Amino acid sequence: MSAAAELQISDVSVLSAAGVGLDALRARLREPGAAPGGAPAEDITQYEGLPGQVAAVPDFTITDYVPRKGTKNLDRTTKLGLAAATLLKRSLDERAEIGEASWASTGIAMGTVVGSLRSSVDLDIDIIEGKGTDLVNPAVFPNTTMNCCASQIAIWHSFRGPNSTLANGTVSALSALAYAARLIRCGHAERMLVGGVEELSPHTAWGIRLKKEVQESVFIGEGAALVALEPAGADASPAVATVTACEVMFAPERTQAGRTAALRRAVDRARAAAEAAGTGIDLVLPGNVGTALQTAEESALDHVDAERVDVRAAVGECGGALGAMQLAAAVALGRPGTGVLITGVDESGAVAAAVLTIEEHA
Amino acid sequence: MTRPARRVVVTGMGCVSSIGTGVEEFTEGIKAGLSGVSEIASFDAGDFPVRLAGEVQGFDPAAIVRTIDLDDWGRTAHFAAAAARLAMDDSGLELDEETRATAGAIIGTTNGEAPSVDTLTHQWLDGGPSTLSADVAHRISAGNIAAAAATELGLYGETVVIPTACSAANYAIGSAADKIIAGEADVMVAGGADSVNRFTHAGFLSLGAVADGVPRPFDQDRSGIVTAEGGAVLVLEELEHAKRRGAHIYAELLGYGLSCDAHHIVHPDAESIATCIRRAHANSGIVAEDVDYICAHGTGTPTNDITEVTATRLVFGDEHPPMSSIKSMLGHTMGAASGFGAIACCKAIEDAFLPPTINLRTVDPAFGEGIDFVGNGAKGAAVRVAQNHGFAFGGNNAITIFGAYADGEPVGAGEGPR
Repeated sequence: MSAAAELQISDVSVLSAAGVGLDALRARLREPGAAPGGAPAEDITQYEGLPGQVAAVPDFTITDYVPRKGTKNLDRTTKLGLAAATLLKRSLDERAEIGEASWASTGIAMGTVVGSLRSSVDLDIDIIEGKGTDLVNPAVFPNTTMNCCASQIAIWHSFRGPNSTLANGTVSALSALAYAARLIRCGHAERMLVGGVEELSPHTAWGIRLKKEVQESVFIGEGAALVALEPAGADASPAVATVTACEVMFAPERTQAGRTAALRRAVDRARAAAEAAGTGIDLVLPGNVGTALQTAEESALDHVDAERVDVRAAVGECGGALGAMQLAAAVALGRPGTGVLITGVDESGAVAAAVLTIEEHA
Repeated sequence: MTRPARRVVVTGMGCVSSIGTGVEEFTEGIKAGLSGVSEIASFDAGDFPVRLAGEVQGFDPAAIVRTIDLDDWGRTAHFAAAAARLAMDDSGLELDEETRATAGAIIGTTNGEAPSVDTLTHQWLDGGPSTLSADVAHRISAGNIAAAAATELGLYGETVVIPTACSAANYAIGSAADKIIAGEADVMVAGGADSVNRFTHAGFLSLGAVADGVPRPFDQDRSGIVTAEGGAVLVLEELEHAKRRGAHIYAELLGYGLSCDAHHIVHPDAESIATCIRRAHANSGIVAEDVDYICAHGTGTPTNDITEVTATRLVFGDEHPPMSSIKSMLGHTMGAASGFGAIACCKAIEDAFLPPTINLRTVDPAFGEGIDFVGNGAKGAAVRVAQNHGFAFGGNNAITIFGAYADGEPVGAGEGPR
């Protein structure tokens, strides 16, 4: 990667089952045994009989982040993403002088598995039970489209840069990072807010438990995390990390061996980029501990000698937000001047490996 | 901007549509002005006042795909994989290991596997949450739509779904082209796929955006969209890679542009669309005068069409190129729409014709004079540069620009500021 093409992460925001902010995430990563907070009270009956535990973002209320007006019809996915974007904008404004025009050219790359599944199911129930459109609230129909969260963030904050949503299962947010990096390098964008979002709902939780891809000992969480991605350079904001590599690849063979081989190719490319940049891998954040794909991932990483931290143990199974939680965790835990390798395999066959080099003064 | 050293050409196209399967049948359908609109059969539409959709009747993915197990994937993934297989066959490309290692699939969608979500909803209502089918739950992850295409073709490169609603295929095509320009891949497949389903139909009905009959884009009596489905995929290839193997080149992808309204979740914004057009021109190294044809977003809702014409007037003024809507034939295929538009543009360039807007009786006088909406059937015309529109909920605008491939400088090179 040439110096001209170097991209930095200027700031991070995160809301997870561990709480709000990097400090809360760091504390939970270091002590993942802490009990998760449970489901939002209004839904509690719909979780009856569900195996395992669930944990929402504690005490999450969107009006803690934005004014009440206009929030009534927002779905939880959109609210979580909007909160993360609001925190990130506020934090970066405090650390660097970002003018209005610069914010107006900012874009978004948001990872998601399927958008707000609950919004789709609830709308469908209204259609079936109302026998047509009688019970349908047209104001909530847009919540069923997967780009709703990213577009609402743009509307709330007047971000007119490229507005995008990326779906790639549990590696969605790392796919968003690869996509956003390419947009910037190819001249389509200046600053991108990049990450992922997932809402806790009975619908998602039951789906996850019935699929049995994730072990019951892993709680089901939710959250949103975003990083501000910008070209590294004189005018840029202070960096917390550099994106040294981000490889998204695919395993067309639907076998463990195929997935291991695909992830290993992505990891090897990411490590080669790190080596070329003079970055040593000091920490690995694997994405599949506690899932059916754990062995495939471990095999692909068996030649990487560095400490492992399981991010999912701290934030729970959180779908499209997982990769973003890994990015946030890298900034939270990474030692200055060293590289953090982030990996993930999705059941679809998508694989990803990224290396962040943590800034000396992060 | 400086034109990149690596150029991207379209060397394969594949589609499954309500008016034809495969690029030849589809093109014949476009030239003949066929309508793919029919009574909804994929779900019980008896509760709705409007029961028309652009369904792909008798879609039989098993007759097209060679690799994937259809039971592993939902209907939208079937559309994507089938269109990708047809596109790859059409390209004549024999994927060697080196090409396969970096080739990937980027597919756009609006609703993903919405019919499978509908199945889960029925299970949820009938038996409660614990009775959901794990197999169906496996299918609904939207990323599967691109994964099915990459699995079908045996691709190892970057594979992802871009669910930016009704402009999604243009996002996908643009990003796939950027991968080739950046040197990350020599071959990519890109396009879009969506399936007709109950809640998209009902949702647009609740917004008052569904036509009371057939779609009539640009007509003064237009009344809305007709929801539709299908898959449309291009094989994009680096020019020298294509030339070395003597590939058939349909057209060159000159560039693309994105813009975001940041204004309203469902109402489009003309200024922002005009910005998108200008960005697409700049990225493509062309000026407005270079454009010979616009494949409109052209949904046929009262609001969309006037907003779109307002936007093109801002850029083209009185020298407005012909502009037609293939949604008049297909209905609104959602995330696949700009993929079908891309195929129509490439064939318009290759076969020198303008795709028609069917069902157009009286052009809305609000659009002003001097725009040919191609309302009297397809007609012959030299098309060197075609502009393909895709706009979406959330103000996610994306426009791709295709140019006639010339063995030398690209179309528009040297004619405009870059």
